[in-house]
Amino acid sequence: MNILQIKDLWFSYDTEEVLENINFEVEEGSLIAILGPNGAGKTTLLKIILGLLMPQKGEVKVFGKPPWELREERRLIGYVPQNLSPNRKMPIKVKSIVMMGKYRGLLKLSGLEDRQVARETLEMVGMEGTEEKLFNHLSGGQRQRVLIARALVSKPKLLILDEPETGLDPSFQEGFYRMLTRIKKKLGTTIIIVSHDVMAVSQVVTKIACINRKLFAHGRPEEVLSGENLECLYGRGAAYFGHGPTPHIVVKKHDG
Amino acid sequence: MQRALLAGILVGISASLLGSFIVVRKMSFIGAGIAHSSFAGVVIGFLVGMEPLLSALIFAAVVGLSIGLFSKKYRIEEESAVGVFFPFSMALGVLLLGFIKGYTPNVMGYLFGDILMVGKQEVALSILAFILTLIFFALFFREMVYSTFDEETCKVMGMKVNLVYYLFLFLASFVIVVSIKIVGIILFSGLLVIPPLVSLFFSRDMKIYVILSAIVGLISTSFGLILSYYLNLPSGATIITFSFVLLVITALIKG
Repeated sequence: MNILQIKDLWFSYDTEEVLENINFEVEEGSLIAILGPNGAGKTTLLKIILGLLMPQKGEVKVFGKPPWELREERRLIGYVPQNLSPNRKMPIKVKSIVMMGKYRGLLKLSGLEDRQVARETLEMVGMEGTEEKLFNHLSGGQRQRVLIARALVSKPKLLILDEPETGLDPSFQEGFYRMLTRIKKKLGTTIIIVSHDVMAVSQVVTKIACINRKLFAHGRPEEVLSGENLECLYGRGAAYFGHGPTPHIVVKKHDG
Repeated sequence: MQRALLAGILVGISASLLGSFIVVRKMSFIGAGIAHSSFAGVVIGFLVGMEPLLSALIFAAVVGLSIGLFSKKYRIEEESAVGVFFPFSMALGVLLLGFIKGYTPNVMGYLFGDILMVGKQEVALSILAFILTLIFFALFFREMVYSTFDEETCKVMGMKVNLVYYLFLFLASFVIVVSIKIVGIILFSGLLVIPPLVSLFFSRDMKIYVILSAIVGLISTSFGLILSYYLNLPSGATIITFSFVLLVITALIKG
């Protein structure tokens, strides 16, 4: 079954075309990476999937419905936004932020059980014992982990992460991708991750969608990460080496 | 004096409660903008023979909601939207002032507050403002905290972010108008912003921050009004000066 279906999607900000004729599907239980250079429309695509933006043309279905018509199903979505910058003076504790992921609606208060789940989720991202700390007293990487915990606490069916590696310390980064694979297996969560770290994500994802305004390629990492697609994404001269223990991309110096 | 004290304390607490979110949402300028826009409302009231507080409430609410709509619909910074409506409302007020025939209203009283103008009606309104503020906080505290922290994710979760935001703006307009006769249009933003700033120095949790803001608001208005009564000073100016001194002392000790 497909959790996400996108057909002939077009989106523009005023007159500037950001996404053109995007078509792809995401199967339940898969882990897909959306790759592309800065300004390629990746975040815009996520915002359409999340129902935050309306496309001018095309069809988008999440759990079989247009995202802006989702009601109860919204609680099945976990989201880690990019570059969240709340007021640094706001005195909000880590536990309040994780509990935010358990929000069920007006006047529906959370119970003791929810708090236990919040504690366990913090443990899962290596942030145990930080419940009482102020969010703004944490390092960039620690904050990112708390936001990941917030997205995971509701055990979502669909987890959407927008460049979650930003600010993560390298030691946690490797474990982070393993954690995503674990979540996918354990909870059957479908994961969509926008990333700039091509090499790291290509190790763990089932599929890759390369976007630079248009969808250049969509398929398994070894199919997609060919020279031609990389050129579309990263300019002429980029090459992918899949042999050896870790694959890598080489980008030749551009002419002129 | 007792009437003024009761009304003052109630609007002081209400304004500080709302102000606690105004401060962490970086909306202080909006508070000042809505307060100033009620000036045109007061003048319109005198001009058409309507109760000035009612016309001020209507005008401030319209401006408050317009700022919200204007900035959301046209993707203009809220700050710029306030920069448009703030001077426009003052300009409109001044222009219309010239058209009032006969009796000239106590303009200074509305601008800087005058407890001699506080009557039974103001006491009743301040009780209503206080109750509405408490109900709003009881119902929407979590929504306010969460959407202040990360509005986008709240929308993804299906939270009625815009509804809560407009209710908040409407309530802020109401409290502003009720406070006009006590602290005045110009001084109101001090009552909105200074108590939460004092509270921020001591708070490590949103609940404590909001409650402490209300306590500082209560202390500022009650001591301010008592001082103004015994020293025969203007009420609004005394309240704001007193709370400013409180902020400076806090900053010196805790900063």
